[in-house]
Amino acid sequence: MATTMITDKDGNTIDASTASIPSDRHFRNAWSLSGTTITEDMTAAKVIFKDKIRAVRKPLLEEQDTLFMKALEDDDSSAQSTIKTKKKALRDAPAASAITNADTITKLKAAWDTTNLGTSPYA
Amino acid sequence: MALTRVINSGIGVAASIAGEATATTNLQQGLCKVWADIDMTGTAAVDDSFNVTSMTDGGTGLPTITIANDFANTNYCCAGMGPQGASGNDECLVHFKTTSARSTGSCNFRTVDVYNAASALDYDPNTVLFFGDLA
Repeated sequence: MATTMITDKDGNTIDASTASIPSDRHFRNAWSLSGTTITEDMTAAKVIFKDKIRAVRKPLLEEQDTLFMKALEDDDSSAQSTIKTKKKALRDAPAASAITNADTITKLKAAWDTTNLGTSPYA
Repeated sequence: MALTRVINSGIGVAASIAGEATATTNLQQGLCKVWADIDMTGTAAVDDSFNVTSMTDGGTGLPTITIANDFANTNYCCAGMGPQGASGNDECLVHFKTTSARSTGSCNFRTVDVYNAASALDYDPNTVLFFGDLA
């Protein structure tokens, strides 16, 4: 049976059978090895989390762009204002204080803005 | 349908094989020298394999296969296939991590979600096959 080795974000490697490993791989590229224990580095995890937000919001922003063009054509200032607010919320999503203040992976996952970004990939 | 004929030219000499008709091909050259079925979800693991010592989980969608009996050179050929995820829109593509991903004793490849900007993603299963000249 082939063994499994795990390399952390800094290039440190350990036999998986001798290591304590995080329960999920959402923040795999933030894994950091200390002794025989692997934990998620919060700074690296937040970078991954923000990148996920940017990937998820891209089609949402494009959708709002289309809606904004329609609102312009219809000269609907109310709709334009609503869309501007929505787009600003999407642009600001990675800078949310809940992300900045999260000091555990659980809190970081809970910082997903379901109102603007939809279902959390970490649920 | 023609019978398969194995033409052995003697010990230490490549065996030839004839299949459907009279044309022959080299038996050893056509054999798969390494294969592996890898699970990169949860704690990564090799579910089954041939001629594999270990697999290194190098990050999201980043497994490295360590070969037990090495290849003679780095010009061996690889094929890989992975699944479509449960969401139905995260199709797997398996590719070499870099142009120098192959060494005689290991191969470093990457699995990406082609639907989502080719971002790295972990899949189960990842299946790979290596063909080439053993050392």
